[in-house]
Amino acid sequence: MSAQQPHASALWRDGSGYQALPPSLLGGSLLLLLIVVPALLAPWLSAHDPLTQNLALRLQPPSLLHPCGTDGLGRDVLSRLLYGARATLGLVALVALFMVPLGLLVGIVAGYLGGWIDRMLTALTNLVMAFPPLVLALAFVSVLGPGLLNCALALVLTGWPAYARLARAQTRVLRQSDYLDAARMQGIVGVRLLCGHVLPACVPTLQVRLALDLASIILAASAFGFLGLGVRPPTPEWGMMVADGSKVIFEQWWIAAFPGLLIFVASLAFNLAAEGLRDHGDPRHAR
Amino acid sequence: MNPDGRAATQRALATLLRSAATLAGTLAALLCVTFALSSLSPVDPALKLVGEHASAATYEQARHNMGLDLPWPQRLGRYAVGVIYGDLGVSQSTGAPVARDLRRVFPATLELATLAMVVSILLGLALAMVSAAHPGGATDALLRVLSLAGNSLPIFWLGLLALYLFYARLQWVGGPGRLDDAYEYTIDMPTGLVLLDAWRSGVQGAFASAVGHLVLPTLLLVAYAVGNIAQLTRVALLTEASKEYVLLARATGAGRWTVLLRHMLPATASVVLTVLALTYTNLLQGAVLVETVFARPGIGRYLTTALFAADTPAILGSTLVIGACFVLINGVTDLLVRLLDPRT
Repeated sequence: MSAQQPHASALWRDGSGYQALPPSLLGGSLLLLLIVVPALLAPWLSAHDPLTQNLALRLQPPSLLHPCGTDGLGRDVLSRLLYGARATLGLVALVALFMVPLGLLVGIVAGYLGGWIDRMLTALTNLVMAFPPLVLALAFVSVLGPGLLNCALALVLTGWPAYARLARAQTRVLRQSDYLDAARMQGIVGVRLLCGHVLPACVPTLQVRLALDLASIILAASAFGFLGLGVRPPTPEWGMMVADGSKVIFEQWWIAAFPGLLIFVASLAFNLAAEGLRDHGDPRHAR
Repeated sequence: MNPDGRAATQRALATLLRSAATLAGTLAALLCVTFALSSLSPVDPALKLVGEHASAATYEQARHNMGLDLPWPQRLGRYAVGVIYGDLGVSQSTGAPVARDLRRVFPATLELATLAMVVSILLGLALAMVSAAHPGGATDALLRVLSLAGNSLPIFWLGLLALYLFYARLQWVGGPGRLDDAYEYTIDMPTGLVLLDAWRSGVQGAFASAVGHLVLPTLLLVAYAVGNIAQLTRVALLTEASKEYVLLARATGAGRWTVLLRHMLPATASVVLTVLALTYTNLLQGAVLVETVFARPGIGRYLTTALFAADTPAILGSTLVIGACFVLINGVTDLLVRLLDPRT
């Protein structure tokens, strides 16, 4: 219900429709750009090859030549950070790409069809939500074998229920509405009705949820890397770099510090964006 | 008993039964998940037992002894019966039954998570009340920063940095492990709860050592939990603040803090309970990473050690135990919330 209000008010105000973006949304987006753009430009920005080892220059402190120092195999940490962003961001994108549609499909089908299908799908959703997501995902990845794809699969399989619940609630509200009756009268039925009229109504609440989830997926993905379950070495990945640095944390603290800082910044970016989207999209939170 | 009271008792009983059924169903589903994972594993346990060079007959014999040649419903049945009798298989890395290993390590995790939980509740509720009593004040800003940081900082990284700063540099606290090496091998651990065992051992300095090693991991977990507890409780309190009974209580002359403590906090009991259950389950999961970073023997470290060794029985056993705790905490909270608030 409340989800439609911003659209309605935006239409009504027409022309004066420009609303200043909340500072947290702006800040989050800027932080995100700060991570995504260097990741895309990594080959041009990095002065060293992320995989080239130079044992003569191992465990160097930050210097002009190596702004973030070198790791235990003498590889340039800054270049590895730049390339490492790709593994994390790729995983996050992959998870979002499958988790959201899966959850939406389950939720909209359950909410729209109702009856025993609804009861079954809701029971399934509640069931998956009752399990510990991180531990189950860890077990899943370790049993099926480490790797980026298995990490993504584990996170999708434990993450979809939130979206199903959300989409189901929204669909139930809409099911008997004049809005959908009007669409049906125009001959819009079936998949077109669900995709064109029910789905958009789920978007405002969904994007807040997704931004929050992406923040925690970054943390989960880096935890996988930290535990040695993520991408295979020598491909750089932030969580794995923290684990490498943890062996020398008492002498060369910066090796673990920099990748962890980037994990924090990436996760913070999504959390800020979520906060901004919530204040922006939902008039109940606006002041 | 009057008919009204009897109806209420019956309703409560029905709620109880329904919750118990849901709980049993969820636990059974968890069992199916770990069973499915063990069947999907590319590691062949029989091959791992007899080795690469065993003859086909030995291999078949091992498969038969382990029940791997049975159809899957029978294997699931055997697995379920085994778990009910406390048989989680034998760990391939420690060589001991997984159930015995878990019984040894689980109390340490429970100790860490519970301690963190108690500190977080006290601190979180206090912050929430201060913030609700002075909306828009400095506490609000502090809470916002705390929960943003708690939701964005990778806990394993913050733990490492804290170890570097407070142990290696400042030497304020104990380092990795649960006790200094001098005590680790000299005192026995009958209960597995480090504080209790160190206290009862009577060894000079053992208790102080245990506390010194527990402070940092506990505070780390608290830092993660407190922001969310306070934030969610604050929202619940502010929702109550606009209700008429608060106005009435204030009009009768009750002070702001009296109303907060005596009227509003009890009214938000079900929200607070849900928040606490959520926090406790999160702390149990967080302990997995914290124990790994701080090298504290607990179920989390047992699980991550098993991950490195691809020790499937140990991984699935730990998953089952942590999962069961998760399901039980959620189930009991759900029941309590329903009983507290008959409207739901």
